[in-house]
Amino acid sequence: MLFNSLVFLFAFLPVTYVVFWSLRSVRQRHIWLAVTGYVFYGYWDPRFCLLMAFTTLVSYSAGRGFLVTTDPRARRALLVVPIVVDLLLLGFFKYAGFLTRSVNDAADLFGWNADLPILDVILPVGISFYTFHTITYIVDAYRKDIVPTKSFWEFSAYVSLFSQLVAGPIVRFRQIEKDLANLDHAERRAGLAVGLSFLAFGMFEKVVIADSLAHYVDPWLMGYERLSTTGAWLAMLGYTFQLYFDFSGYSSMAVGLGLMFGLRIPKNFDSPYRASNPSEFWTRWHISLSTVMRDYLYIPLGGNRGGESKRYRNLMITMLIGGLWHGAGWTFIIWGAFHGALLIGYHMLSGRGITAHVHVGQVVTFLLVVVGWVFFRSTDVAMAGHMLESMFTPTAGDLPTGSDKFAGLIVAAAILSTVGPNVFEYHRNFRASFGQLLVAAIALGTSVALIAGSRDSPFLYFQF
Amino acid sequence: MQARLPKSSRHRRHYLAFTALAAASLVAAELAARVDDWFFDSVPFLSNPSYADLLTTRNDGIRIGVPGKKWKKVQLNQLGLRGPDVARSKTANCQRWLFLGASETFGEPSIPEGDYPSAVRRGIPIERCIEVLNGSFGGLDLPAISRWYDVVLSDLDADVVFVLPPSHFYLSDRPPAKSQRQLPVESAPRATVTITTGLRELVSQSRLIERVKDSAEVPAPLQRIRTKRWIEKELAQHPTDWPFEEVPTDRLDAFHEDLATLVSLIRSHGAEPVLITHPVRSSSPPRPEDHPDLFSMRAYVPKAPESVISAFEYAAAERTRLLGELEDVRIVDAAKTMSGRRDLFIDLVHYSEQGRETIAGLVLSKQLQTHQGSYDAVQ
Repeated sequence: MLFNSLVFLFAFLPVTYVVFWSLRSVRQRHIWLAVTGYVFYGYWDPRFCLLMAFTTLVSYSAGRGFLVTTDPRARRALLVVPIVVDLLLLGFFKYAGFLTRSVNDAADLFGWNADLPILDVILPVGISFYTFHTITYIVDAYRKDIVPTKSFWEFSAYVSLFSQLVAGPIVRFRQIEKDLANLDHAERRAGLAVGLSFLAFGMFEKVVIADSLAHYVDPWLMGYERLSTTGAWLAMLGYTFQLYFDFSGYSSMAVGLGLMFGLRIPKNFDSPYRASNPSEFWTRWHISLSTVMRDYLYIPLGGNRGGESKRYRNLMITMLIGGLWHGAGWTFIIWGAFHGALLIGYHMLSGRGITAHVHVGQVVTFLLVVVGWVFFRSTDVAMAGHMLESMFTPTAGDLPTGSDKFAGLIVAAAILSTVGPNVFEYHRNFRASFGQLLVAAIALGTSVALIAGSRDSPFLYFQF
Repeated sequence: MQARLPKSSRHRRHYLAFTALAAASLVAAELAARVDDWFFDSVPFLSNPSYADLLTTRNDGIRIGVPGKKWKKVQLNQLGLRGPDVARSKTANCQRWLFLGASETFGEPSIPEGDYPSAVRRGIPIERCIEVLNGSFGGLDLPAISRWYDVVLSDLDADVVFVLPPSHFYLSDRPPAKSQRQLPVESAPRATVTITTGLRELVSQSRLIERVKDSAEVPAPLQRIRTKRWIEKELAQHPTDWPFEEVPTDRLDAFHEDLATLVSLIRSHGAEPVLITHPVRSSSPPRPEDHPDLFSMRAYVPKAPESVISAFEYAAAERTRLLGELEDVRIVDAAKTMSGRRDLFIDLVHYSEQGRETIAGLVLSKQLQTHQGSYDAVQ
């Protein structure tokens, strides 16, 4: 089910909301959130509910194990087993096809015939996100950063929480455990207005801005071989803003939905295209992922300790894995490596006292990020190469129809994403005044009209 | 410090505020629908296009598509047909394929390129020059298709004419008439809304409501009650032996005869006819899950019970195959591949996206394979 669908807005959400607030005990509310999470997820393909239930059960059992044992070997086993199970599932569903194809290709290069059967496995929506939820839970429990919950329903509600189930943010248990534990004391009225406003703004970002850009970006990039230099730049700029508003919109909706149910889901975007260097970019873009990668990968690898070369190695490994997390393909690995190189380059320069004026830094960072998106968006390396060639060498070709309108949309999106306040900044002083509610009502009405006009396209991050 | 308002006043204020917000939301939605249509589809902001606007009457009394006209996501080209612009004269060294049929071929109006001829167009290899024209409109029965082709579309000099013959018209109270048929203005009966005239006018002009009607389905039980009432009303106007008890062979013969006429007509204009058997979502005999679709179709042909509709569709597909054998006409057997597969349809006869891709794939695999030799010769 999509947030930006009529069935979600006018059937699932009202029913879930009314029943939730009519329940009194925390246990009832946990059960209801867990059940609705499975309904929400099963609407796409009920078979994969079993997979999520299995992951939930394994991680919950491990959590219970941490509560009863202090033996270091047992605790280590409780850490390793569920993580291996999660990673095996993720590996099978997400990377098996890529791995077999890569082995076959590599064998071909050397003139061998590996001929491994190609596994065309359907990628369960959101598996990358909910496995991260369970892994971070297990690691935090092992590190004693959290006390694992005894309530199966509380944990189940955390994993299958519909607002952040399929595309994040990657909410760590410790970030919402207080809210989950106090759900019976949550105040309905306090969260409703601000939650609806977040939802409306997020919907507007996705449906009105991102999908309007997609109207041009998708067909243009489908015929990327024919694009001129201007066309290639417009297409990539369009995609740059489409991706941001699509994912930021989803995250804002997740925050809004969380607030409506008494849960404070953390911010996932902070106007990333305002960043003046690559390091700052990653503190503003997909914040929940970059902090998870920092806390559960970069720091355990050694982080900044051990000198510059180790720091750069750790950065590169983290970014490569971050790239691979996004998708099983060489383009994502190159994208990760590209950002790893940017971060290393930035730290080398700044370590030597070489810095740029903030606005120069913003422009350069933005352009480098756009170049990175070429790999991220391309279906294969050949497409990425072709696009970069079109962008950086004068290329004659098409400027498809509607380029004037497309350029107008890009300018509007650029202003909104850099100069305008982001959704969190807008809501900083939210007091549910009539004027603020009116703006939200207009945003919601506009979005619903566009959804009804066939703008119920999936979120880009669903594929990850 | 302000005095606290009494509870009833606060309630009234809340109610007023909520009403104002709801009204603002609705107005914004209506404006957004219009801006969206204007921005992306160039539909004038204040106009209220309908299916009827797609058609106009020529000086000789023939009704045709209006070149360039738009309605929902349907864009007629300069020939007045659904699809991108194509010159009236065929491009040198190119083939031209023309698709004839009713609403199944015309496609979904609320989806851009929501017709299977568009899927055919997209599937043609880049090195092959083939122009694909969709010469269909909703509500066309076979005699109407024949006349429409004979008088208007034959001028387009198609090399291959694909016919997806709609068969359910032959289950109406009277079979399709053989002469003077026109493009129908309405493709389907519309549900009447019994509300005050002013409000009805407002509702009928709202693009927001039109969008919601397109994207939101009437709940099945409600739809069923509505259809049941309609059928009961129709049955009450006729004697008890009026409904068909079994597949009417005279109607099948009429279908066969009309299709044979169209095949001859296409050949007389120098084109090659290709028949596509008419696939349906139901199996024959129907499975329990097929009944809602068949029941909905019965609203259009109340004379035919569900089992007869299903059996007739399968019999008509068989007759199409038979005609192919008798007249040496190539057959794309979509019914064989698709009938009974629920995922390929959105109702009994209209296709889902996957269905459109499937039927296009069948057309392409049959026709490209067949014409490879002649294409190579042309090149």
